[in-house]
Order: sequence, then C-alpha cells, then structure tokens
Amino acid sequence: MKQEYDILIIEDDEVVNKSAKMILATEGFNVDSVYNSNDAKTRLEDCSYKIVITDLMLPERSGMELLKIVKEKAPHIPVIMISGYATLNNAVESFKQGTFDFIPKPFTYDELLSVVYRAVRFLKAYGSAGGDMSRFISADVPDISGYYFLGDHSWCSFNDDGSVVFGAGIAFSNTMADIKHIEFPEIGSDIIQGNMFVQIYTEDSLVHRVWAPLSGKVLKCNMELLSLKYLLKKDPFMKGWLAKIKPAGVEKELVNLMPLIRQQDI
Amino acid sequence: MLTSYKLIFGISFFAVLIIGVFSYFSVDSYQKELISQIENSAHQISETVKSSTKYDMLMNHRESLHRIIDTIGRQSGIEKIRIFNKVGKIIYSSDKPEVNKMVDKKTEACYACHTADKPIEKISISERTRVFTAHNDVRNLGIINPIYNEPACWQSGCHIHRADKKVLGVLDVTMSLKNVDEQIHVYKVKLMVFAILAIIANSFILWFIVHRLVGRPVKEFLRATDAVAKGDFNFEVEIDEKHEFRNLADSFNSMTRKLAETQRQLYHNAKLASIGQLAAGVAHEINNPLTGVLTYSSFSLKRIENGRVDIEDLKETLEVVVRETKKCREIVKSLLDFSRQIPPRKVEVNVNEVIDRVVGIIDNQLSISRINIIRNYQNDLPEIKADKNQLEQVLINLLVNAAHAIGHEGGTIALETREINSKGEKQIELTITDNGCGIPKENLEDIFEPFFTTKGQSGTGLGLSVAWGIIDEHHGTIEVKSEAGVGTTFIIRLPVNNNFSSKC
Repeated sequence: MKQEYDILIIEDDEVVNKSAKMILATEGFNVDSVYNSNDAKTRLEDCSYKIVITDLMLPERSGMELLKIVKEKAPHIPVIMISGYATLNNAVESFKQGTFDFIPKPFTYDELLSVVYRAVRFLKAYGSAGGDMSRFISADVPDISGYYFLGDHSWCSFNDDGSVVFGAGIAFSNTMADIKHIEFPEIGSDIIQGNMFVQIYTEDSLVHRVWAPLSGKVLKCNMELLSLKYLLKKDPFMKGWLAKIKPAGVEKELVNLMPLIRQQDI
Repeated sequence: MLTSYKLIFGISFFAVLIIGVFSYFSVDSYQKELISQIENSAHQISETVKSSTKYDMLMNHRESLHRIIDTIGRQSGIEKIRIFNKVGKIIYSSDKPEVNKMVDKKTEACYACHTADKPIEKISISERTRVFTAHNDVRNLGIINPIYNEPACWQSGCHIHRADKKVLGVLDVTMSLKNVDEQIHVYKVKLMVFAILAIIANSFILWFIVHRLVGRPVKEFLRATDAVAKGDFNFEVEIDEKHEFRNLADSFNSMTRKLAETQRQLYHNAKLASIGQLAAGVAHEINNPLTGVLTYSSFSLKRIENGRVDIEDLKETLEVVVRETKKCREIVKSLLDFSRQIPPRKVEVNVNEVIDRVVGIIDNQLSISRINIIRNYQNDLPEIKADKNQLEQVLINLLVNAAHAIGHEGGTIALETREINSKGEKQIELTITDNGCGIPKENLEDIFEPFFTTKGQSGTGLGLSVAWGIIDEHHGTIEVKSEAGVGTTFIIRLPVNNNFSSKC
C-alpha cells in the first residue's frame, strides 16, 4: 500500500533537507524528502502530498518549475519556497506564480513551523469550505481596487500624500492562531521590499513574519491593533492595517506586485 | 596629408580658372589692338596707292601704274596689291600669275558689298576688312578700297567709263598677319609660363602653411589617439600656447586623463562585480550550513525551554552545529582571502597554486552545476612574477563564464598548464577548456570589448575586458578559440621573466 505523506521536502543540500525533515517529523508530520528535482518530479506525478516545500535554487530544475508543475495539477496545494537569498528577487517572482509563502535561509525551528502551520490551516479552511475559497474568508472584503499585493501575503495602498499603507493579506492573517502580540517596526526605520517588517506572535507560541510589499521609511504603525487584535483578522484591508511608510523607489518595486488579489483565493 | 593636397588642388584650380579668364581677355584685346593697327596701316597703304595712281589711271599710264603697285607691294608686311574691275576680273596684281583671272565674288572681300548680289557703294573700313587664312596657313588681312567714278573719268574721253557708273573697280591690299600672330603666340607662352609659375609658387606656399599650421598638430593628435587606442592614457598632446589647436589639445588631454580615471574605476567596479557575483554564490552556500546550525540549536533550545532535555538530542545538535560552523569558517576564509584589498604588487607566483585556490573558492558553485574539473598541470612549472590577486580575478572570471556556458546539464572544465618557448622567450601557457555551449563566430571578436555581454542584465560586460587588461599588464596574451555547441578554450600566455609594472 502506498504511504500517504503530508509534506514533500525538495532540497539538494543535505543538512537543510535533514533539518527540515527533523523539525516536521518532530511535530508529527509524515514527511517525504528528495534531494533533486528529477526525483521531485516523479514524486509529484500523483500529487498525493498536502504541502510541498522546495528550495528555490536547485540544479537542473528550479523551484519555480516545480511550483508550476504543482499548480497545474492541484492549484490549492500550498507550495512553500526555501530561498537562499534574504531578498525577494527570486521569491517575489514565485509569489506571482502562486507561492504560498517563502522561508529565507537560514531559518529557525519556529520559523519553518509557523509557515507550515499556516499552510495547514489554509488547507483546513479550504477543505471545510468544500474547495470554495470565497467562503473561507471570514473577514469583510471591502473594495480593494488600488491595492497592490505581494502574493496573498501582504498588501499596500497609496495615499494621496504619497505615503503608502501596508497590511497583511487574508491568506496570511486568517491562517494564524489567535494573536498574542504584534511587534511593529520602529518609527523612522528603513524597511526593504521582501524583508520582514512586522512579527506576529500567536497563542500557539509561533512567530509569523510579514514581508514588506515595498521599501521605504516607517512613518506610523497601527498601535490600535495591540488592543484590538481581532481587527487584523476581521478587517485586514481597512482597520487592520499595519504600518504607514514613505516609499522609496516605487516605480521599480511595483512591478513585483500584483494589482488585485487572485480570484481563486477570495 | 590628404587635406592639404585637396586644399592645394582646390586653390590651384581657382588660380588656373582666374588666370585663364584673364589671359583670354588679355590675349583677345591685345590681338584686336594689333590687328587694328595693321588694319589702319593697310587702309593708309590702300589710300596711298589709290591717290598715287589716280593720275596714271586717268592718263591710262599702265606701266607707271603697274610700277607703283609693284613698288609698294614689295614693302615688307604687304602680301599683295590687286585691282579688279566691276565684274571681278583682276586687272592688275603684284602677284603676276593672278592677272586676268576672275575673283569669285562670293569669297574674299566681295561678300561685304555683294551679299545681295548688288554692290553697295559706301561701306565702312571695318566692313571692307577681312581676315582669312591663305593656303600656306598664314593669316592675312585684306582691305578693299572701291575706286569711284569721277567726272574726270568720263570727261577725259580717253576711255569709255560711263557717267552713271558709281564704282569702276576695287583696289585690294592684302597684308600678312604673320608678325601679329607671332607676337600673340609669344605673349600666350609668356602668360602660360607665368601662370604655371604662379600656381607652383602658390601651391608651395599653401603646402608650407598647411603643413606648419595644421599638419604638424594633426600629426601630433594622430600619435596621441593612436597611443590612447593602444591603452596609453599618459600620452599628452603638446602644442604651442599661441596655436588655435591649443584648446583642442587641452580638452584632448583632459579627456585622456578622465579616460584613465574611468578605466581605473572600471577595473575597480569589475572587481567589485566579480566579488558581488562571488558573494551571492557564497551566501547561498553559507546559508545551508547556517540553516543546519539554526534549526538544530533552536530545536534544542525549544526542548530545554519546555523542560525536556534529552542528552542524546543535545549531543546530535552540537555535532551538527560544530560540523556546519566549520563549513562556514572555510567558506568565509576563502571569501576573505579573495576580497582582501591587497595593493597590486608583483610576487613570485606558482600558477598551478593560483588555479587550485580559485577552484577551491568556487568549488561549491561548480558542484551545483555538476561540473567536473580536470587538472593537467606541469608539475615543475617555473614561477612567474605576477599580481596574485589579479590573476585570481582573471581565473574566477573565466571559470564562472565556463560554468555559465556549461549550464545546469553538467560538463567538464579542463585546466592545463605548461612551459613553452616563444621566440626565445620562456612563457607559461595556461589553457581553460570547457565543453559548454561555445561562442558564436560573430561574437568571438567582441568578447574582450568592454560592455560586451551575452548575459543581458545579469552581466556587466566587463569581466573579459578586465581579464584582458590584467593579462596585458603582465605582458602576456589571452586568446580564445570556440565552436558553437562544442566548447570554448581560453589560452593565457605569461612571460616567465617579467618586469611588469602595474598601473592600478
């Protein structure tokens, strides 16, 4: 009888592969791992995995190509990218192709877990919604025209005065456990597109990192969320905003973002 | 210098044109003047003959008439004197055989009066004059003088002229223009000689001025651009302070200085670019062992925090941490070795060792691309004096290029060193051969050119040009052989006895 696996890990480096496998196995997942993309392609043929974690840079076939294979067969399966660089250059491209999230190397035990658990919650919601993603969202979705998205992960919206408001996407904010604490960036600090700008601590003692959709200087943070944490999940596009920034180099960075949330995920 | 010849030719052309036009009018008016003089003297002679023979004619003294005509006709310059009657019969001529012959009225002097076959009695001197070429190719001037009927002629009763006739005959004096033509010829020759001398003198002066004022500075600029093209940015154009070209020279010199500065920056940027490229690869490699360290240590920390300390788990974690940290240490060390800013200096270098070091630095990158390195060294390779850092930079560039050419399909890079003898000079030959995609023929000539790249945005196009510059500074050569689809070979030759001096 063929064994059912929860997660497939594709990583050519032995220590990273083993580390990821060790973490997930410790958490009780059924983990299968391969070291090259040829094996990965074979394993993905029947796509019995629930979650796929792949290195972005692999010999022969990149993580992007594997992502396409998965998305063609089963668009709902969350694909998590392990990225060798701490910048978005490659990861942002994969967001556009439908990556669930990415984990920059090197990562801690909890950093991997927090992303994987969000994928698990995403799948659960997807299952309970009967595959209809529009019912998965409990939040009110207002008019979000004029919003730009970094995958389904975070968003930004332009104010008339040139400042930009950042927030977390629905697939991010609604796949976390209850929020315990939010760590905002310091006012005046510089943030970089694709790098972390907010950390969200949840009751399951995990930490979720929100990637900045654009680069810029922090002007203001939504401190109201510290007391009204539910707003982040209930109204992520309006009252659940995270930070206001003064952007730098928007023209170049905007091409990395998507103007509207992908239909299949609403 | 082509320009000065063009200038001289152009100005000479105009000189010829001006002198030509001037000569034409000058000769023309000179000729007219001379002919008019002859015309006048012919007219006078004609009148003299007419008046001195008037009496003889009336008296019908033919001998006396003939004698007078013969005497006057013998004078130098007079070709002949003739008298013909109304119907054109030559009554008398100083040229005896002509006598009694008929003159064709349609020719010679007759056309002036007889154009309408009807004689006109009164005509002007110029109308009575004609210039014609005789059978012996000598130009002649003829003037006719009508002999009018006078009362004495019909009253004398000696001969039978009727009173109603107005013209009895014509006196024709022909004078030779030989003298005139000779004078004009001499005049023309003089003018020609003058014109040629003027043009020669003019050309020479022009050549001298152009050479002095333009040729010399241009030659100086030519030498300077040649030197710059060959990479010598220290060449300065020297031109007199008073010369108009001085400003050009100054701006040329400042341009070369800026070029030299830019080149230095380019070298620096290319080095930074190759470090950046390297760093990206190294970061990728370093992140893997760091991930091992971080995951295992954070796992153990979590367990300890939860109060579950398993000594076996902890031991495993620490083993991973130590092993992976050591890997990081190696990577960091090789990166530091490469990027350390050592001022360029020549030291005794073993090329084999340099290659090994470079291969060591990018080994991880090569193995990701599944590239097999084949070393084929000459073990007793003599050491050369070279800048180790720069040589490493060249080799990293060539190896990274080779790896790119091979792509992800895997392949081999063969590294070979040997000592050769070229024109009595000991050299080290290093060949790097890959079995990658090769370089298309049309690109082969350009690959050492700055900013030439086939890698689009990801390449600076400086790598190979800087490599070329470095090898050139070492008085060596670098050449490439490639066949699309088969592979590429770079051959570097470096002299063993090298007194190179670095510009950077």
